[in-house]
Amino acid sequence: MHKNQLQIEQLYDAYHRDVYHFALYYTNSKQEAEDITQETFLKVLKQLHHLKDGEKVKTWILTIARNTAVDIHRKQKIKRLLTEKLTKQPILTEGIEPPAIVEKNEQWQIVQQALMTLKSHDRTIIICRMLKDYTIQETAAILDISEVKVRVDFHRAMARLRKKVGRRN
Amino acid sequence: MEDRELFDTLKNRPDIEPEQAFSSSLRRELENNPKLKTKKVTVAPLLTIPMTIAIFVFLWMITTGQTLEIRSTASPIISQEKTMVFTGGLFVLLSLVLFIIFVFSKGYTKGKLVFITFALSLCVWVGNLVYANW
Repeated sequence: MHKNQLQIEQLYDAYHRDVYHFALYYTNSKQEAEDITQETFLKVLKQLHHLKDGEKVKTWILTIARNTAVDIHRKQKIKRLLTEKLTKQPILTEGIEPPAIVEKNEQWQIVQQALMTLKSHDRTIIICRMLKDYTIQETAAILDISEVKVRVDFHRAMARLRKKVGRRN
Repeated sequence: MEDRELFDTLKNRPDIEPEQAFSSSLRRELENNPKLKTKKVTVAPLLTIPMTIAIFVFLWMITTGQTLEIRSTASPIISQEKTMVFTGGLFVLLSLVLFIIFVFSKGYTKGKLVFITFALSLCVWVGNLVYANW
């Protein structure tokens, strides 16, 4: 148990920023990113005894983070839609910032909003490859797909993103 | 603007770093988490394993026609009907055995869907017993 405690502290110190960044890019919400980070490390703590290959710890944690992000983000989305239906008032959704912020029209917000319109798989690939600079091998391990599929899906995702931000290939 | 430059702007978004208060409190929570002391055995396998055994027993009973008292109107009369019931029962038994083996071999015993399947099977079993003895 003590060994686990030591490991979780080390893992937390080493990877909590990576998890938080991933979650923030994935959800574009600080609150959700914090929830995802917390849930991810609680899962890591619980499942630490399952980890056999220490070299794969980074991709293992990010796989948990990705799955947690998908779950939490989906729940939040349903909650938002239900609230919207019940109150019959459109509420601010992901990627839509308050007018004051939109007026600033910062470049990062345009890219982030375009990212939010992509499907979960495409978004994850772009976050891993372009924003976190993970290798193709690492991205493949996180998504549990082949390296060839990562390459193909990455190019397709980038084409979709370029289209969203109004750029040519 | 190159793709890299475009993403560099997002990499430098102003709120990219987690708040210090959040990071510290989560670290403390992990250090002192009582979940470390919880047992690895969860409720789901404890329920699904007896449920599986119960289904096996139930299927064995209906396939071999032992002990289960079906109402006389529902009982097969001619031999062709009996053969049909036996063949059908055997088919269902084999299908479910394969399904259960698949579920356990893949480690899906904790999933909600599997749990609901097993729970529904128990309801059907109990319902049938009640109906048979009504």
